[in-house]
Amino acid sequence: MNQIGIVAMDYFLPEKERLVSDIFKEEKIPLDAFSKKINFLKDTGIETVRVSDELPSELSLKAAKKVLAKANIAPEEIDLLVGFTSIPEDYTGPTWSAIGYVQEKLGMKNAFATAVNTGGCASFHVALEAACALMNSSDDIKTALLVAGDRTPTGNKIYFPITVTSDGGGALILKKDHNRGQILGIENYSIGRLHDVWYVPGIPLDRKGPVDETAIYMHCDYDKFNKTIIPLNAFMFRKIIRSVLKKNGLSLDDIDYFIYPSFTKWDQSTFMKAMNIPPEKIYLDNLKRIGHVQESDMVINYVDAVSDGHITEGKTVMVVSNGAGFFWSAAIVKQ
Amino acid sequence: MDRIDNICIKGAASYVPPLKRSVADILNSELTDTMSAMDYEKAISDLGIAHVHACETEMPSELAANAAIQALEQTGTNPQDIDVIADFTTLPQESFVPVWSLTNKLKDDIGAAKAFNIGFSHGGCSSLLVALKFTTALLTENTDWKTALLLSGERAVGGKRILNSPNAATICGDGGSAVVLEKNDTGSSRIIGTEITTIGSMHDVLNIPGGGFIHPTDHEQFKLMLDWDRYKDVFSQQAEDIFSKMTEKLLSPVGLDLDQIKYFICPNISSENRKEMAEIFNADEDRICNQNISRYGHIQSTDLIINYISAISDNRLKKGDYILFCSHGFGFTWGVTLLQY
Repeated sequence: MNQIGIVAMDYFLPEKERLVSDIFKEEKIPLDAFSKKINFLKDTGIETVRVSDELPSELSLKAAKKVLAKANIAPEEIDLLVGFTSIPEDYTGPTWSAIGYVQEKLGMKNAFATAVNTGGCASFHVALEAACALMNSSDDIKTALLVAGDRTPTGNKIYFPITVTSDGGGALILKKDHNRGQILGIENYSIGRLHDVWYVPGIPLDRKGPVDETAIYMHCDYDKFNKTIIPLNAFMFRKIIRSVLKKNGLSLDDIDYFIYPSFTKWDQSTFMKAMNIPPEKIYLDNLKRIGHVQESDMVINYVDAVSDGHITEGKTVMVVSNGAGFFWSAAIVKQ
Repeated sequence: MDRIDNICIKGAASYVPPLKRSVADILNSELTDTMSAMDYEKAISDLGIAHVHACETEMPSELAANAAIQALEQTGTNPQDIDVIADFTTLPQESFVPVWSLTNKLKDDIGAAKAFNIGFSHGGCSSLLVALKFTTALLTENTDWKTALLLSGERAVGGKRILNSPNAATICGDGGSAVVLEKNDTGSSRIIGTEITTIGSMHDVLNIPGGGFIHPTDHEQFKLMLDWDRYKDVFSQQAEDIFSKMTEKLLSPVGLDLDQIKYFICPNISSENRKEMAEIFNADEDRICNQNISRYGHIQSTDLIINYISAISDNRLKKGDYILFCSHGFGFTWGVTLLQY
C-alpha cells in the first residue's frame, strides 16, 4: 500500500468550553470501581472540554467542509465518502448514518457514501484500511473523504475510568498517487471476547421495559475492563506496532513522531513508558484543553502536531489507537 | 471497474427462526383499527407475502452466528483461516451500533481470532453489495488474505413488521445469512464487480428515529419509518436511470449486455416491487427470483442470499451463467453485483 496520500486533514471543535471540574460535580462517578493508585478526579490531565448543542451530523458536516476548503477540492471531486463516527448519531444505526446527510449538504453527487461501524476510537484506522483497499483496487475511486462527528449526551461526558469527552469532528481527504502524507501501512487487531466491555445499550429490541436517557450513554463493564483490557493493553500495542513496522521493513527507531488518543495523562504516560517513547516524540498538548474526541483525536492531534512544527515533510509518523470492540490499531504515514 | 483477484462465493447459508407468523395475523395485530377490509385484501395480494419467520428471544448476533456456522461447515472452512469478517446487518443489533458490533462477538463465538472485522451502516438492502465491494478489495489488496466471511442478523425492530403502516410496503421477517468468499478458489460463483450509487438527499426517507441522539428514549419511534411519497417519487423517477448506468458500467467492460444475464436476484420487498424491478431489467418471470417472498417476507439484505441459494438449489443456473444482484436500500443506496456461476 504505497500509492495513497493524505491531501489534508482538519477538524471542527465547538467554541463553548466547560470546566472538567464542573462536569465532575454533575456526573456520578463510581470511584470505587477503579485502581486505588489513580485519583480520577485529579489525575486525568484534562481541564476543559468542548461541548456542542448541535447534532452529531452537523459536527461531521462542519469537519468535512473545513477539510474540503483546506485541500481546495470541490465536492464533485469526491468519489468515496466514508463515515467513521463511533458513537450514536442523530438516528439509530446501522440503519441510518450521518454520511448521507453530509453527501447531500455538500453536494458530493459523484461520491459513493458509506459508513464503517466498527473499531470504536480505532474506527479511524478501520475506515482508513477499507478506504485504501478500495481506492487501490478501483480505477474509478481517486479521491476519498473520511469524516466523523461526535457528540456525547449531557450527563455522559465522563467515560469513567478512561477519559472525559469533548464534542467535535474530524475529517481527512485521501488521494491516489499523492506523494505527501503517504500511507505506508495499517494494522488492525481485535479481540472479540471483549466486545461488551464498552457499549451503549440503546432501546431494547423488544421495546420492553423502561428506557431512560442512559440508554444512549456509554457504559463500561468495570470489572471486565480492569481484569482484561488493563493487563492486555501494553502487550497488544506492542504486538500491533511490531506487526505494522515489520510489514514495512521499519523499526521503532525509524518512527519520528507518534500520534495517540487523548484519553488521560496516566494512559499517555503508560503508553510512552511501555513503548519507550520520549515525550518530545508524541503529541500530548491537546489533552489538557480538549480531552477526548473519540476517533477524531487522531485527526486533531495530527493536524496540531503539523501546525506546531512537530511533523514536517519527510517525517515518518505512527498513528496509534485502541477502541471499543476491542481494537488495537496502528498506521504509518510518511508526511 | 474494480480490479478484483479471482474471488468466488465458496458457499452461502441462511437461517430463519422456527416461529412462523402469518401476514394475516400480523396485519390484524398491527392494523385493525386503520384498515378497511378492501385495503386488507389488497395489501395481501400486492405484497405477495404469506408468512414470515419471527424471533421469540433470539438476538441478531445469534441469527448471524447460525447462518455463519452453516456456511463454514458447508464450505469446510476453518474459522481460524478467516481473514476478514464483514457485517452487512441493516437493522439495530442487541447493543447500539456503531459502538457495538456483532462482528466482535462472532469473532469470539466462532473462533476467528485473526480476522479483521468491519461493519457497514447506511446501505439498507444494498448492504450486502457494499460489503462485497469492500471485502473483494480487501482480499485483492492484501496478498496474505484469502478468506472472508460476510454475515448479517436481522430482527424486526420493536416487533413491528409492517413497513409504512397502514399502507404496507412490505412485511419484515427475521433471519440471518452468511457468505464465504475465497480467493483463487473454484467456488460456485466468481465475483466480477460491484457498482454502488448513493443519493444523500434521500438519507432520511427510511430510518429509525427512536433510539438515536434526537429521540433517545422514544419507544414509539423505535421502528422503521418510511416516507412513502418521497420513496415512490425517487424510485419512479430515478430507478431505471440509475440501474441502467450502473449495469452499463459493470457489463460493458466484460462485453455483456442485460440480455446475457441469466438470473436477476433482488430483495423480497413485495410482488409489486418485484414487477418494477423486472421491468427495469426487462427480465421475464423465469429470469428473476420470485420463489421466496411468500414464505419469508423481507429480511433486508439477507433476501439476496436466500434468493441466491434458491437459484442454485432449484437448478436455475448452469456453469458459466451470469447472475446480477440488484438492490436498493436506505441511504439511499443502489447497487448491482455481477457474478458468473
